[in-house]
This record gives sequence, C-alpha cells and structure tokens, in this order.
Amino acid sequence: MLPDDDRRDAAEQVLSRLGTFDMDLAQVERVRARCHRALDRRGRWQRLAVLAETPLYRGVLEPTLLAAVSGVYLFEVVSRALGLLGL
Amino acid sequence: MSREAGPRVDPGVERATDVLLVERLRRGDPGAFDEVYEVYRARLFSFLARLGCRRDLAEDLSEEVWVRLVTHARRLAPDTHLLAWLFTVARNLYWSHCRSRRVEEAHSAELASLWTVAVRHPSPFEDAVATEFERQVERALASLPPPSREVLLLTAEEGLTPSEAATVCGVTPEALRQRLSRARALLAGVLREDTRGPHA
Repeated sequence: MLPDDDRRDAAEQVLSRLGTFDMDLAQVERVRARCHRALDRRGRWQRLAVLAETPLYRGVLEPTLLAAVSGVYLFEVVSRALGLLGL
Repeated sequence: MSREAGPRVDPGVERATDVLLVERLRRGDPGAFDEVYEVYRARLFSFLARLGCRRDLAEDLSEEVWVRLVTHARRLAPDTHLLAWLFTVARNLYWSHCRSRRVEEAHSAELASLWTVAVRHPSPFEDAVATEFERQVERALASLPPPSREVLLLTAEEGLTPSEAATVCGVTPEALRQRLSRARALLAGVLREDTRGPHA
C-alpha cells in the first residue's frame, strides 16, 4: 500500500492532467449567440453615445432641441397663466 | 472525456494574450469574445462540473458567467487576468446557488453522466492503463466538501498559484494555503479508504 504522501502526490499529478468536459454543441452555440446579441446591443448604444459627442450634435442639434422643448414648456406655462387670469 | 490534460498555455504568454483580448473585449469586439470562449470554455465548464458534480448546474452557471463577461466587458480593468476573472465569477455564482438552494451535498453518482460527453474519446489501451486511478481520484474529489474541492481544482487542476487562487476565493494567501493543506490531507484520506475497499 502506498504511503499517504505518495498517494497525495500521485493524486495531484492525476488532478493536474485530468481531462476537460465541455457543453454539448447546441448549448455552446446557444450561449455564443446570446453573448453576441448582448455585444451587439451594447455596440448600438455605444454608437449612439459616439454620435452624441459629435460637433454637429453638440453645436446644432442639442441647442435646437433644448430651445424647442423650453419654448413649448414656456408657451404652455404662459397660456395656462393667461387662462387663469381670464385673458 | 480526454485522458490527457489540454494544452496549458505558458502563463506569460497567457497574460500577454489576455491584455490584447481584454482591450478588444472592452471595445465590444465579438471576435475577441469568440477567442476567449474557445480558449476558456471547456476549462470553465470542467471547473464548474467538478465543483458542483452536476452537469445541468454547470451548464446554467457557465452560461451566466459568459453573459456576465459580455455585460461587464467595458468595465474590465486593462490588466484583467481573464482566467482568474472567469473563475471568480463562476465560484461566486456557485456559492450563491448553494446558499439559495442548500445543495452543497455531493452528487457523485451524477458525475458518471459527465463522462458521456467527451472532448476526445480515449483508446481502449488508454482506458485500461489510465482510467482506474483517475476515476478513483474523480470519486475522491467528488466526495470532498465543496470548499476543499474548489481549492484543489483551482491549484492542482487549473494550475493557479496560491495567490491567484486566493484572489478567486476571496481569502488571504495564507488562509488558502491552510485550506489547500487540509484539502490534500482529506483527499489522501479518502483515497486510502477507497484503496482499502469495503472489506479491508
């Protein structure tokens, strides 16, 4: 019978060269597809974020949008105030 | 199930490759994901299969690890050691699962089913000379408490250094060395009992 130390060393040698298991092929491809979809979704958001950093958006579109939203809000506030005053 | 260990990459080369892969992953490159998936998929799955002794659980947890990799890819540190990162997430998911389901007991009987899906089928000769002790070690490993199994898998099977394994397990290197020493003693004890057999 092997002494404990030898048995332990032999076991660790076996452990270091144990073979690998793998998922079945269908599962492998399903997970790959799911991860690619997640990366793709993330990529789309990243592209939008990049677009938001362009000079055209920063210099023209963003101020125009802000002015339009502010204008609509201001118009609504003034209209309601005039309505309450009966004018 | 392969009888030989898969090709282990030199740690230095692995690190250098990791830096490039992490950089590409951070940019959301699907090709980088495919490379990481091919290199580490079987190792990660084997780790989870042996840790939990259940194929279905290993499949679920592996999938979750890969999804987490792509959802966290942008936040990966440039010097991330991918294998350690993947194993850290995997073992955290496994222990969360154990806490929520209280399924820490060994399912060694189910380990046999793992042998049905093989990376490479061994020859009859390889089977004859290598199987018995290997199976004995697999059985002994499956019968150990999960914390001991985990530390043996990370160090002896995956070849992580004690400090890398300590990072994965979230303990100090000293605590890991103690845990590893206990795990080795337990494994030797189980193998000794197994060798004696029920009639010894």
